[in-house]
Amino acid sequence: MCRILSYLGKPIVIEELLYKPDNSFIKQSYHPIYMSQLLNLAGFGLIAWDYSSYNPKQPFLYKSSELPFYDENLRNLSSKISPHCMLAHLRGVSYNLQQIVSDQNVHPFIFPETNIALAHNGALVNFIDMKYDLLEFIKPEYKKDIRGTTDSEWIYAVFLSCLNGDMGTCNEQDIFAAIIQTLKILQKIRQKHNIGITSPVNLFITNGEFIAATRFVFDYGWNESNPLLSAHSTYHSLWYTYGESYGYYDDEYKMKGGKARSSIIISSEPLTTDATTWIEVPEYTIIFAKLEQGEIKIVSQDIHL
Amino acid sequence: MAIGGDEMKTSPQAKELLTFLSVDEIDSLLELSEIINFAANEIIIPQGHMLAGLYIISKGAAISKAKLIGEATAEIETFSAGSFLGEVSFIECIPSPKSIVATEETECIFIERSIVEHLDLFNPTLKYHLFNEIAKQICERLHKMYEIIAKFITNSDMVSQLTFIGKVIESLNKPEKISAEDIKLSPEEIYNLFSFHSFPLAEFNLLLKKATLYRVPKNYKLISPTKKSLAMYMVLFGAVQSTIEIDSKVAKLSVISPGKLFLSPAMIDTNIETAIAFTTCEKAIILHLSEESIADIKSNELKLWYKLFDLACHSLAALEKSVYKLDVRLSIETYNR
Repeated sequence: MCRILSYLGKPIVIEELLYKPDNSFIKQSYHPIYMSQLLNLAGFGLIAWDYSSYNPKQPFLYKSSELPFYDENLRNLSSKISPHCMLAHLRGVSYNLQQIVSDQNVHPFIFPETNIALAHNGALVNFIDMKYDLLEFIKPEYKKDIRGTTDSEWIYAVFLSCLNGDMGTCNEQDIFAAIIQTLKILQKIRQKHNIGITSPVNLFITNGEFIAATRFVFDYGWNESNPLLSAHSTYHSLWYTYGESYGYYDDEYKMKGGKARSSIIISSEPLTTDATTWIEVPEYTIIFAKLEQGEIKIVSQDIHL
Repeated sequence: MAIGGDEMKTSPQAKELLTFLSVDEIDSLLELSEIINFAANEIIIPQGHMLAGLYIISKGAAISKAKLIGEATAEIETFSAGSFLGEVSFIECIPSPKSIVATEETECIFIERSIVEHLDLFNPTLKYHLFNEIAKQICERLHKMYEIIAKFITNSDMVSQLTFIGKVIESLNKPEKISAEDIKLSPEEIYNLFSFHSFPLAEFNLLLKKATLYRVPKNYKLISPTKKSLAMYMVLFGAVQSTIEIDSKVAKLSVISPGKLFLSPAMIDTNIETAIAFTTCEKAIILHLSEESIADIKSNELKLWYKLFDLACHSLAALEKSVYKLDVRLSIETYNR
């Protein structure tokens, strides 16, 4: 049920993340290690910021509902673009006709009024019952921007509406507060509709200068069907690695250690089968990473609703 | 490395080393194992590799090293004769997070994974005694790591989370004893929910008879750091969070999912004192085995006890892994400030 990859740090040619490691991001669309019950075939999206590009505050944005491993355009672009910040998403949905596969439903989402993007790994069970109750929590300027049918885009709209202050200067406390408030709103609506089934909400949020990610599930351990078959039976994973730079060193893909720890990858699963230089974020946690004076600072906080 | 000879298999050294086994068990174990020799500085277990079996140092010494996240290699721990190597990775079936390197000429007893796993069938008592010793070593290591973390947390400016009001509210929420009928599931349906493949259905029914089911509210402390618990618990629905709690500061370890058993390390080593707590992080249905039930199972249902203990070892290995992870995280992240 979706894979997400985010990067912040030294500029990196994105094929080093998308294609080259042995558990590369594109490979996770058809062979994920940590969520093998469901493949991620319903679209690929990427948003990236590059200081050296024209109008650097405006990100690159690429979205397609086509299968990424057959996408020659993506392959070509990946060998040329070297952003300092990136958020990529592979959409995974259950195999039935209720699912709508379209470019509008591909993450990450970024509304015209803001420079903050969001991608979501998870699903809100019985979202159709709670959807319109969220309208009261969404600011008018964001309501009109919702174009797709996903719960994720609605979560994004609620999050933006919860964010206080100027979007260009929000710090980790602003982001934490908005995330917690968003989750509390979702919890309240779920309780109103007696929805008590496991619903993962791993969010990735970035504006090109920070990355925030949550590892969170509503009502974990209460599955509606046989947990052995459910894609939500295990707590959705979230990992990170950090160091000076990511690349092929000492015959393997890894973060190189060095004096400055200036790059971080936060993702649904490690990009290599050897995960021993990655660390798994604990359950019910928000993690926030920002570059300060050439070093990645990582702040984490438990989520208590 | 050199795979060697039968000297170990007949020497009295093995008997001195493996004191947790009977003489017959030592002979059985050595028949099933290989003796492997490592030169000084030779890697016994490479970081990132799956373990092919269990290693016990019979002669010599080793050190564990890890390529840590964002850093160069760091030395972590030393091992001497009698130590198991890589046992957490073995039990958890995960790649070894550390390399283990011989610091001098070292000899290891090596038992292949398939043999260890099949001991259930032809010598479950041997397996139990082996894993009992492994559990003790895990608890010792856990205790050492815990001491380091506890000092860090005490001196840190982590935000205090356990308010007086919170404690009062917690004390008002109590678990409710229930039956399988209350959750509208037959024992067979509960059994089919999870991959209890180590328990045949008949054994699982026996386990249910010896245990008590509880409906537990969220945020209820099942195992408190201040009270020694000799009970075992299994999550059927919902989830439980393990934490370290010191001076009202709380640091999360890991979540115990449905189908998993958990217990306090004090069950294995009553001398261990740690401030590790287990609290429901969702409303939950919990299977509880009291100290008395466990004693009864140990005396009268040995097969069932061995299987429960196997699950207990998994739980302790997962706990050690999460304590190690917290240790790494505290040196990297600004956590709960």
